[in-house]
Amino acid sequence: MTSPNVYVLGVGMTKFVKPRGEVEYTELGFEAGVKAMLDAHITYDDVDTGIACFIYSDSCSGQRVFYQFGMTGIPIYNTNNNCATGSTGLYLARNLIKSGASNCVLVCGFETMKSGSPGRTFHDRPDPIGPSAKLVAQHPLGSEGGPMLAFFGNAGREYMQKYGATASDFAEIARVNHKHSVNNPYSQFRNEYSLAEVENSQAVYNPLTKLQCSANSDGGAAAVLVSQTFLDSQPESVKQNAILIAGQSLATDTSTLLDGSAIGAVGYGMSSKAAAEAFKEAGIYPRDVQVCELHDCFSSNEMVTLEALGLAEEGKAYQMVRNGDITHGGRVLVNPSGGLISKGHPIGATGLAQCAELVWHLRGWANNRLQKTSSVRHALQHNLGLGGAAVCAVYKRPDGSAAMPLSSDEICKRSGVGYNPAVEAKGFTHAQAERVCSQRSRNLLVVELVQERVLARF
Amino acid sequence: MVGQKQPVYVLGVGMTKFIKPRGKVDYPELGFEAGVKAMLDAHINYDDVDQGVACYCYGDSTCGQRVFYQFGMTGIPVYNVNNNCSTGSTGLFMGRNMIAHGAADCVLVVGFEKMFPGSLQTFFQDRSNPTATTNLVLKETRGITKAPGAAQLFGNAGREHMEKYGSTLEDFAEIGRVNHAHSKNNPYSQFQDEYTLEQIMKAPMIHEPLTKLQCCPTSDGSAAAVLVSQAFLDARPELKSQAILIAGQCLATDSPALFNRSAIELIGYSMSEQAAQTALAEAKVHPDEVRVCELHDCFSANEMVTIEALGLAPKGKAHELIRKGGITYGGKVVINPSGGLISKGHPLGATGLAQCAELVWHMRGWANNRSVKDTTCALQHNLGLGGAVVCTVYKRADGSAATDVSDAEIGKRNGLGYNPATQAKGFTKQQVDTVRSKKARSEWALQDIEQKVEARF
Repeated sequence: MTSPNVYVLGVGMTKFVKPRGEVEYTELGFEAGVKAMLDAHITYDDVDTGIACFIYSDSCSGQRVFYQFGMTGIPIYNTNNNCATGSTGLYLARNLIKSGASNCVLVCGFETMKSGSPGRTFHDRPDPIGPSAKLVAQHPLGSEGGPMLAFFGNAGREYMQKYGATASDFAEIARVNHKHSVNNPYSQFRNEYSLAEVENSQAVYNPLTKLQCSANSDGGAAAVLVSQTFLDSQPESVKQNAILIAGQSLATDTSTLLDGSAIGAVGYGMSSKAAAEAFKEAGIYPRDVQVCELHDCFSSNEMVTLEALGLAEEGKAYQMVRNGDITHGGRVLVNPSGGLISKGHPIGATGLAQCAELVWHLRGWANNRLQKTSSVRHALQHNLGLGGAAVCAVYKRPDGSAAMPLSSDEICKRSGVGYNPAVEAKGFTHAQAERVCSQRSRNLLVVELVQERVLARF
Repeated sequence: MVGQKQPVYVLGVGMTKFIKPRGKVDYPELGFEAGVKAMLDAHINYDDVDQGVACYCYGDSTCGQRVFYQFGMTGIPVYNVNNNCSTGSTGLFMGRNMIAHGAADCVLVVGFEKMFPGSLQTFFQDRSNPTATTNLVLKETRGITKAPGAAQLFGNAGREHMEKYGSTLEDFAEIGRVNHAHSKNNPYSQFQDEYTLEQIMKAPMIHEPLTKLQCCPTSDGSAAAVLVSQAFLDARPELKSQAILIAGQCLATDSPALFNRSAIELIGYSMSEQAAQTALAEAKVHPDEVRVCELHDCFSANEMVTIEALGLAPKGKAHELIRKGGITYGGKVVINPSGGLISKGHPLGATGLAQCAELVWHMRGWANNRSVKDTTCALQHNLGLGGAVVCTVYKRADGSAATDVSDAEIGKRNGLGYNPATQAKGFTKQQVDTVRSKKARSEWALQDIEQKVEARF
C-alpha cells in the first residue's frame, strides 16, 4: 500500500489588484502557474492532472490557461464552489493523489472581477443560495443592503446579542488584518488603520463598516501537490521545501444552515464539520494550531469562524480578540497575510493564496511576519463559500518540526526564482518561464501574446 | 506509479426528457428528477452517497448544491465541474476515479442544463474566450462567416474530410438520417421524427455540408448516474445483474496538433483518438468488438471524423462504412441508437450522462426496442471544444453479451412497474420518500420543486 501522504511542493501567486479590466485571466493563471512550478522545481511535463479554479469565466477557461504551459493531453478539470473554489481544487487534488490516481497535480486558481459586491451572472434562473437567502430576507435581525451584507452582518448582530460582544470587537479584527497586510507584498491594500479609523469608516451594515469588508480583486494563485513517491524522487534541495497536508476536509451545508440562526446561515455548521474532520485526520486539536488563514470576507465571519474552528470556545472569540490572541505574540496568528479584508478576494484564487501563505510560514520563508512567541508546527486553513462548501486543511512540516526562520540569502538559494517570494512580489524571466513549460508538447500560438504581457508587467 | 484501479460499476441511471428550451422548467427541477430516478434505479437512499458531482455549464457556482440539498443535507463533499460539452462525462470520469482508487464507495453524478434557443453563446463577453485560439486558427485557415461558430468549426472539418477522402454531401446527410431514424425508439428524445435523405439534404444549409437537420438543437434536460465500488455492490448481491462495469475510461485534453491548421484537428480529433485508444486498451477491447456506440454527433461532420478517431473505421474510410449501412441496425456497429445529440438533444451538462444511461440500458438488455445483437461491450465518446474528451467502455460485470429482457420482467425487477429504457415516465411521492435522506432531509431546501416536478408527469 503506497503512502497516502500528499505534499505541497510549490506555490506561487500574483499581486492581488483592484479590478480595472487591465489584466486578463489568461495572464493571471500563467503567472501563478509558472511561479508555482518554478517553486516546486518541476516542469509541466511532470504534471499528470490539472485543476482550474474560477467562477467568473466560461467553461474550459482552465484549458486556456493550462495550454500555455503545454498541451500534453492530461486531464484538466474546471471546478468551482463559490468562494471556496480555490480550496476545492486543493481538496480534489489531494484526494486524487492520496488515493493513488495521480502523482503530481497543478492547481491553478484565477479570477477577474467587477467592482461592487460579487454577484450572480445568471439572473434568469434560481439563485443557488435561494432557500437560505429567502430566510435571511425575512430575518428579524434585518435584511437591508446587498445580499452578502445581510448574511454576514446579521451573523455579527446575532453574535453580539448572544454573547455580549461589541461593535468594536469586530472593528478590532479588521484593524489587526489591515496591520498584518503591511508585511504581505501581494496584498491589494497595505495600509494600517487605528481602531477609530476602522470604526468610523463608512457604515455598511451595522456592525460592519467599509474597512471590515473584503474587496473584489483580480488575481491568481497556484500550488503543485505531489505524492510521496514523487517527492522521494526529488533531490534533497527540493524535498526540503515540501509541506505536508496532514488533514483536510470539504463539507457542504448541514441542516443548521436553515434553522433560522443568522450564524448558521453563514455556514457555521459546515465550517465546524470540516474543521473537526481535518483535525481528526491530522491527529491534532485546535490548541495545537499556531497560525491560521481563515475566511474573513467580513470581520463578523472571522469572529464566528474562530469558534467554528475551535480556536475559541463558543461565545468567547471576542475575548480572544480583546486579549490580542489573534495576532503576533498572541495565542494564534490569524490571517498574517492580511486576510481577505486587506489582501483582497479574487474568488478562484483565494483558497490557493491562503495555502501559499501557510506554506511560506511553515518553510520559515515569511520571515517578515512569522509568529514569534511559539513554535509553529501546525497551520490551519479555512475557506468558505456560501451555497456552499467549507474546506479546512491542516499543514505541517513533514517531520513535524517547528518552522525555523531562514535568512533571505538561504531562501534565495532554495527558491526557483532568485529572490524570496514570501516577502517580495517579483516576477520571472522569459528563460525561467520557458524552463517550466512543456519541453515536448507546446504550441506557441497559445503562448505568444500572454507571455509578453505578463513579463512586461514585471 | 499510479495506483492499481479497482472495479467501478454504474448501478443506477435516470434522465428527464430532453426538451426545447422555453424557459418553462428550471435546473432544480431537472436535477431533482434525474437524481431521484437514478437513485430509484440503483435502489439506494441518498444517505448511501458519499460524494456528489454536479455537471453544468450555465449557472452560477453551487447550482450543484441547490440540486443535491433537495435530496438531503448530509454534509458530503459536492463538486461543481464543467468542461464545455463534455461536462457530463467529466463528472463520470471524476466519480469513477474516486471510487477506482478507494476514495469513495458511492458517488451520485447529476448533470443538468437549462439553455437558450439558438446556438451556443459565451457569457463572459468582456474577457478572452477559452476557444479564442481555436477561432484564430479558423480565421487564418478557412476564414470566418456569419454562421454559428460551432457550425463553422465542425462544418469545416466536414469539408476537409470531403477534400481529403472523397466523402460527399450525401454521406453527411445520411448520418443525420440514421440518427433521426434511431430517435423514434427513444422516449426521452427531443425530436422523434424520421426524414428521408432528400429531406435532410434539402433542409436549410447552415455551413456546408451541414444542413439544419444535421445539427443538434439546444435543449433543457438532465441525466444522472450512481457509481459504486465492488464492496458496495457485494453488499447488495441482488443488484449484481444490473450493475454495469466501467471497463475502461480516459479523459484527454488537446495536443499541439489542435493548431496544426487542419480543420479536422481543430475540432479535437487527436484528443478523441487518444482517449479512445487509452480507454479501449484499459478495457482490453478492440474497436471491431464494439457493436453499440454513443458518440458526440453535435453535427454530422463530427460523427464522420469521430468514427475514424475511435477506430470504428480506418482513417479516411468512415463514409465507406456509412454507405454500406455499417452504422445502423444490420451493420457493423449501431451508432447513436438514442438518436444522438442531433435528434435527442444536447443539454450540455446532461449529455454525457444521457449517453451513459443509454449504454447501460443496452448492456442490461433493457433497451429491448432498439437492442443490438452480440453486444459484449459499448463505447461512449463525449467531446467539448476548449477542451476535453472522455471515452468510456462499458461491459457487463460477468463479461457476457447482453440479452433482451421484457418490459414486464423489468417492471417487476426494478419495482417501478415499467421499463425506463422504453418509457419516459415519472415517479410518485412515496418513491421520492424512499430515496431522499432519512437522517438529514430539508423541506426548506426542497421548496416546491417536488410538487412542480410531479405535476408535470
